[in-house]
This record gives sequence, structure tokens and C-alpha cells, in this order.
Amino acid sequence: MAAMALALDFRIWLRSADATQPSPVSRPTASAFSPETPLYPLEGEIAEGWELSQPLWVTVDREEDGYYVLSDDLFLVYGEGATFNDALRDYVVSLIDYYQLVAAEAKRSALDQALFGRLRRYLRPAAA
Amino acid sequence: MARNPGEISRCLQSKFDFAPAKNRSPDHQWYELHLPGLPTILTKLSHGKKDIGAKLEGKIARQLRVRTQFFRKMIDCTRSREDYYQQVRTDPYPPWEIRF
Repeated sequence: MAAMALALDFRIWLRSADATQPSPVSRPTASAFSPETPLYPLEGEIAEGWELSQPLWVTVDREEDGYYVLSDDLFLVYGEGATFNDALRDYVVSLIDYYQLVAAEAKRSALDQALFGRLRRYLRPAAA
Repeated sequence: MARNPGEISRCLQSKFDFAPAKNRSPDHQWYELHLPGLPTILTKLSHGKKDIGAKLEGKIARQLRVRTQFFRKMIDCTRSREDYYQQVRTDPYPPWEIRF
């Protein structure tokens, strides 16, 4: 896991002000983060060998000291860091960790199997 | 009141019977709790020594399926293990999405 390359040029784009229309903004990189929009869809290849097959919305919070905390409301995974990129990297690593843990639990519990099925609708190992 | 990950980790393990999970990231430690009739409860703590702020507290509380106030009482030892187990069964927050 430590050696895994995290592709930080994955796609994050600003949420369109008009949700009924496609966003006119072309897909910026993670460096185009705007603090005015605290919710972002994450999708595509998020790390080497891992991809999101549909957007997963990530909330961006800040602690009082400016520390970043990113999280999703579906799987309750969070990432943290001194910078947005650090927190995003931490979130991606945590999400993959979570996938592997739930996958292991799914082998012995029908309840976790259902959770794993839901998780796999979003995150899965990229096709070789 | 700021808390550090070590304090929370010790409390979760010694008082609430969470066990370290076999995650692979060297930066985090996940903890798991198996309760009959519920999906596995998983929560993550980072290895860093930085105290946990209010936002992070909220995220951890959510992973434990309780509100932040209840989580604080867990760590402050004013909520027992039975209180917590009862809480996640009767009033989990956020609610369990899986319906059987």
C-alpha cells in the first residue's frame, strides 16, 4: 500500500450551480479546488489499480486550525491532512483500506456481503 | 476538549471491545466490532499524534454510528459498553442503510 502510486490528476470538477444542466466547466485537476464548493464528485481511476465506476461525492471540511477533513456520506470513510491534496490522498487510501476490510468480512457475514455489494457498485479493482 | 488518537484507541479496545483490524496501510489503524445482527462496525484512527478536532470527532462518531455528543460520553466514560451496544441497535446514527 505504501508503494502504491496515487494519481492526483484524477477528475474532480466544480458542481454546476444549475444541477439540471451539464456543467459548462471543463474538468479541472485537483489543483483547481475552490473553497466555495464543499462537495465534489470523485470518479475514475483514483489510485493505481483502483477505479470508481460512478461518482462518489466527497465533502470537504476544515478544522479551526485549517486542517482538511474529507469524507463521504455513503460509506462514512474519511481522510485528513494539512493540505487538500494530503487529505484527498489519505481519503483514497482509506477508501481502499475499507474496501479490503469489508471484502474480508463479506466472506463470513450476509450483512457485510450486502454492504460489500453496494461498495462494489462504486469502487473496484481496475480491469487488468 | 481535544483528544488524541491513542486515548480513543485505548478506550475503544478496552471498554467497547473493538479489535484492531488487519488493514494494510501503515498510516492508519482500523478497528472493528462484530455485534450479532448488525454489519461490522469499522472505524479508523490515524497514527499521527495530532489531537483530534471537532470535525474529525464527528467523522469518527459517524463510523461508530452514534452522534458526536454520545461519542464524547463514550470516551469520557459516562456511557457504558452496554449503552453503546444498545444505541447502535435502537437508534444508530446515521441509520443502517441495509434492510433485510
